Amino acid sequence: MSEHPMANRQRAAWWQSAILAVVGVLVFVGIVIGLESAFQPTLSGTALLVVGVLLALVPAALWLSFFYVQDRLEPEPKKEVFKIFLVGLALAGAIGIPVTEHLFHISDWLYRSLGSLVLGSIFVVGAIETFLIYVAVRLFIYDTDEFDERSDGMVYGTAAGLGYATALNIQFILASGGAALGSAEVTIAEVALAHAAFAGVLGYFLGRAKLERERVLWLPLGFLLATLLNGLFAILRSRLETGDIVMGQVTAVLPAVSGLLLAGALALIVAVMVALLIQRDIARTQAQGQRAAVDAKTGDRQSNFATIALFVVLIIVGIIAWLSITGSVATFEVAGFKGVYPDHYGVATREGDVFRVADVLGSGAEFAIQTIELQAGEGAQQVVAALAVQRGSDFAAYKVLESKEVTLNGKPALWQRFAYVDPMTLLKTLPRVVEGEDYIVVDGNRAVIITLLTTPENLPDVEPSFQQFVERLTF
Amino acid sequence: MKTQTKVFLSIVSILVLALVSVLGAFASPPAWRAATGNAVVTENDALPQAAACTKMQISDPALWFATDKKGNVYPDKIVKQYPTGTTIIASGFEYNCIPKNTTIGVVYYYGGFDTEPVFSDSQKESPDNKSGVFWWYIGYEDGSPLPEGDWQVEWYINKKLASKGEITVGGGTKDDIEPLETEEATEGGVTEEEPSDIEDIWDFGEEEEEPAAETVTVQGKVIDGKTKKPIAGALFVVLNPGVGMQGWADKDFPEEDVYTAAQTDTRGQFTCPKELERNVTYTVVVAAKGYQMIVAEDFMIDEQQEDPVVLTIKMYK
Repeated sequence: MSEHPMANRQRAAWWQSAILAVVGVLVFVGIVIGLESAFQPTLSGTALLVVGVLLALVPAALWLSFFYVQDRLEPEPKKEVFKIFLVGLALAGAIGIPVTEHLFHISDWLYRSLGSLVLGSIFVVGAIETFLIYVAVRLFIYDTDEFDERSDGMVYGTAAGLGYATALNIQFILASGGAALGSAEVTIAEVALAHAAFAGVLGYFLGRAKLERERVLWLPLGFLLATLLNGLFAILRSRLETGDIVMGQVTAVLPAVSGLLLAGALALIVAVMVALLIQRDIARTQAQGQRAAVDAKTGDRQSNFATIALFVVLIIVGIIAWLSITGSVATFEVAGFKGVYPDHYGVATREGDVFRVADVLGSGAEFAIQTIELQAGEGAQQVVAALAVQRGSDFAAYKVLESKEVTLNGKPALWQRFAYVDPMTLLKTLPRVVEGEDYIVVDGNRAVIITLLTTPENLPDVEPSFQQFVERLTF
Repeated sequence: MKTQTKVFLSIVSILVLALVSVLGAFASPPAWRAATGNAVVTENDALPQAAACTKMQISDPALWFATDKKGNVYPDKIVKQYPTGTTIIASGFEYNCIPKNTTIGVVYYYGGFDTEPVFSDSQKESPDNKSGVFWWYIGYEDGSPLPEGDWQVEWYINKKLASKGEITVGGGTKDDIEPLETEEATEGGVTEEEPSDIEDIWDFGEEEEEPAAETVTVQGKVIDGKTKKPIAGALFVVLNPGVGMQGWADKDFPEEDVYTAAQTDTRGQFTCPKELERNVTYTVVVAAKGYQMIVAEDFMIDEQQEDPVVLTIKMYK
């Protein structure tokens, strides 16, 4: 058992700097919007990217510098605070963003329904972000002597949260290839303030867990609260900013700030509440004459395991939600063909089709089943030729890129990958490159053609569903 | 659609309406409503594209297109029969191009080419070097179902018969059907005339003042609300009046419910291939990968909006 004589010192620094930083960030956003509309800078390319990345660093820089100024009199190792900020940033960049974006492909399915928004925001994004912020504090500072005051949880938690937010913001700027500065800064500030708030809540629980003898479930409770807050904020924000259609030419659009105001309010409420809670905790322990202490050997280790276990449970729920949302299928039975197609696709059977489904409001990909009567002696090669003639006359630059013999559900089949240019004259848009695949199965005196049509960039995403469509098709 | 064509369409629609009212005064209803339209389509390889347009070639036999009660014609859906209860039928043809000074005339018959025409009309077309599809739909003004039986159409290019066709409405035989009331309407004096004389009746000057267009071209730009960057590949879908998002989704997003749709280019811009009617409430759906879908159930263009109406659409992640 180690003692923490500093634990009950009330430090004004962290919460004053928190409030100042929130106000400072909001003021800064206002200045950026004002400057942008006054001077209408015509930045583009690298310059816009560099300015965007610099703006992404502003919220964290403001908080750190306010903290530095406030903390002059009661020195807290700035190096440690900055280190945790960098750890949060690194964990987000190396694990958090890749896992949510490239493993869970969250943006492909998050907005599919209110259910997917709730499940994805809480059990995938919320859980992963909270866990990584927890890891940043827990593994890199919690067990050291630097973590010796009640408010340290809040300070280091906020630092990790801001690090995470900064990584998200840099990614946002880089992915957009440089955004309009005013509205980009609104998003940056919103993300930073919101993450500071979630992390602050988690930090309060971490601080009390270390400095007081708390029950095993105390820390998991804080983790759950922070995760829920994170998820609920994302849900509420997307309900506030759903997008709009404005008639008439709009030249100057002020950025939507409802999300930012929500985040600002949340950050202020969390800062004030945690400040009051810590004051109350100090008063209580002083009145009881207790010395804050921690049993790092047993109770805390268990609560750490309990927190990790809770995260595992949450993420398992997230994985189940992800798999069921993206993998849910609808069944069909038409003209002797039975199978399944992705649930969010719509039936788009046209003349000449046996069956066709299309991801109307998503990738636009189409899966189609067609049949062709075969004359005696004709085989898959004749079908390939017929398709080439038909597509060659309907579209431009039809080309078979790859072809091979495969087995489909025990039947020999010909598989080919092709591309063509759809002139898109009916929609009056630019010609579009279409990439697709055919499975051609000779079935008695007919050939069954199962076709995937999509764009080259969507092909990797759509292919697995098409494989499932093909493999589960019976006729 | 070109402005000239729009002016033409507007004038023709108004004149047709005027004719219909005149006919209504002379004869008992139902009166006809009719309108023309054309579209550039992808499936037009049947006819060679002319470099310089001198002669208009059209497909023969004439085609029949899917329609709906609102008077929407789907030139990409060719039908072989109209179901019982059909209120509007639309015949048309594919063409290679439209030379200067081309007048297209149409004559609809019911019950055989040797009967009196039930509807005839003609109009001068704006020249166009592009191939496409042309149609002229007819239906009763009051929207009541057309009598079942065989309908015929003749297409005249500059008074010369160029194409004809026949289609059945409903599944019944001609004997089951009551005498066609509209034949009385044709006694009003106009539609019984030979097609070759019809043009003289439609003697309207090019300099006639442009009336307020009843349909409006819709175009716009889709941007990311946070970055102001254009969103490429966003889908802008207008559903048929009366169809809501929930109903459309419940039915598994059928294409028949789509009034018109467009996709944005790399600058985030789009133009709807079909014009929207003023003062009609549509459901508009805007979707793009990774963004929240926008559903506007009460999208309406009123008289105040200019033609074309330009939309700015902001989407959020």
